[in-house]
Amino acid sequence: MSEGAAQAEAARLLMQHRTALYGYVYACVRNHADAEDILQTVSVAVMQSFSQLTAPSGFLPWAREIARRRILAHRRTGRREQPLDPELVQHLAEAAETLDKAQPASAHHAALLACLESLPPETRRLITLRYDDSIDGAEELAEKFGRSVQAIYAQIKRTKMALRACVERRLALEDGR
Amino acid sequence: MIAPDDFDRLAAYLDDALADSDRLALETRLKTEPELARELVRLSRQEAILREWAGAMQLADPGPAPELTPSNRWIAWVAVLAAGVLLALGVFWPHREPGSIPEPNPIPLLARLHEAVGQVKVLQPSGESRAVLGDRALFGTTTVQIGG
Repeated sequence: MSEGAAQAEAARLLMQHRTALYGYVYACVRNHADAEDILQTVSVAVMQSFSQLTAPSGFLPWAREIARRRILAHRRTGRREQPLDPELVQHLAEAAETLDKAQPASAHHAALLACLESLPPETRRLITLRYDDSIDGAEELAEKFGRSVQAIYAQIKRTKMALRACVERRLALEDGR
Repeated sequence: MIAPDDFDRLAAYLDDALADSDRLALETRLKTEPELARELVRLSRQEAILREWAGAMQLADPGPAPELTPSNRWIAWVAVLAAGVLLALGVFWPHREPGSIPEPNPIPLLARLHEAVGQVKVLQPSGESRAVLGDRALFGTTTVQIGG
């Protein structure tokens, strides 16, 4: 494979496994800005050392190990300065590996998108605004929907639980086929 | 075993909304209960997909001047990173078909942008800015810009 083709393949695999990698990193750092920063440093490392990967099937465990090291090296920003526990980061890496084998992120992704489509339009709008970074805080979201902050929090929580249950049902149906 | 209220606890943990004592207690359990750790990663993955989906919905909205969401910014960033590597390859290893005769060109083609997603633009020497499409030719005088 030429150098250019290898870089294109690395970029393709990074995009294909973004959800799985982000899921692991975010579970460890619990901050989206930190997770995005770490994912960018992981991307650089992957592009630089892609030639070390012997088979594309080993990409995700390899990239996850790079991510584990970057997570531990990342100096957390903002007010939350508690150090990350290396043992916890390792346990979450093992959990992510087991989950990726049992339930690939691509299947989770497809099921969740289908479940989102089945939401009532107003609920879908609420979830969009909650996650697209266009609204600054729950107060603004509550104001936009003419409801209290508590009521908005409760609806988001109910919706996320419903989405989780919907995803589980869909994945179970697919497994039963 | 995961108790029903563990789902709330994990969601609060991801939101950094637990008191320190509760956080430490949960982290101890996460190290000894693999099922609980898997559920945390699953929940985190759901957060990632929701953010990506919401970003795509925002871009699909024909409203004025859409901003790049973090996830789309990342995708654009990876695309530009790949283009940067291809550009470097074009600079250091200009390839030519064996036996072909190079055509005179005052501004040599360095590379082609393989792929771009999101707000990626190419700034022409004239100052004109154009949205990047797949297979866009990149010359020594062009500049690649990403939004965000």
